[in-house]
Amino acid sequence: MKLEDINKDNIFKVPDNYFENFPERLQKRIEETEQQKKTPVIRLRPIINIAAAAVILMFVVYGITQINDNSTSVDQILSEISSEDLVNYLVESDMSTDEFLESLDMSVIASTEDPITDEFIPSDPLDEETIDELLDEYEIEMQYL
Amino acid sequence: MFAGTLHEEKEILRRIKDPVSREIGFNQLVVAYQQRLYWHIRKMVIDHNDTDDILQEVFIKVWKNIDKFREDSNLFTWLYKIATNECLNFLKRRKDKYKVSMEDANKELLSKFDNSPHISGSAIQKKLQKALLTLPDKQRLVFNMKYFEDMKYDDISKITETSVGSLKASYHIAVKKIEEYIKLD
Repeated sequence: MKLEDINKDNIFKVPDNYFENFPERLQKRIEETEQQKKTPVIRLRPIINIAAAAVILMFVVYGITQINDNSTSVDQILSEISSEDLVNYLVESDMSTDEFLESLDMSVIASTEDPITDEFIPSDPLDEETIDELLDEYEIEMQYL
Repeated sequence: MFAGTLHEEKEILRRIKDPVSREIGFNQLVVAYQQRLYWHIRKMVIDHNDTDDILQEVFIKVWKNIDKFREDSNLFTWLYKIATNECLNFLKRRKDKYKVSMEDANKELLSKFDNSPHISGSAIQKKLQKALLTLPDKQRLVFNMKYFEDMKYDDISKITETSVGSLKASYHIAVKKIEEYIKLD
């Protein structure tokens, strides 16, 4: 039997009234999505970003101390700042996450051959969709806390 | 091939761009294109509920990005492109999530096909669908658009961002594989 001998009619079916009801269901879903944007859960986003940046800073400082023979001063600074203080400082400062990351001297890190630096600096930035997915997952977890 | 005429497309877009009639315009867009996009997605992911989820995601993306749509391009091609990407991403995510090969992933689709309450058709029509599930996703996509949806290679080329030559080769290989599968008992 050849392909052209087979009837091309669509054999898939949809539940009754599916297409009649779809636009309304979609409208509700869009309204829910837009309302979610206004909830406090979403407003956690900048704080999460800053906390993430603080964690990255900790790792970066740690990475530098690993490669720097004269690391006494960095060790001292690190021991005097708790991660909580660091997060609080970043939350209270006007610095955005991007500005904060830009303020780090990435050239120093990039010039080292220590693999620890490669591990913490992604070569490909996450795309917006991936970040949204991650945040969505996180928000779900937040609701259960 | 398109669900709406150029005039209708322009009218829908004009309404969407105007804040006063934005929601009405978007609703018209959904009504005009939901069926074509649904069937396009359904043939790829087989399951109705998965199709429903993806279709919603497609229209949410359209709603969020409609301002970025350039009016010199074709609205239906743009919608089709979004739907196609969502389908392929869905199938890829599923493979990655369960860390399965293409063959195993297609077996899962086959099982959905066999167990779905929303499928009818003759034995040979079902066999054709099962033959399709032996193909790689992109080859299946090209076959569906050419064979079932009767689209022009130029349009498929715009949607898949693949050259017409590659599409013709892909379709030719797909037809050969399907005909061999159909010959089997």
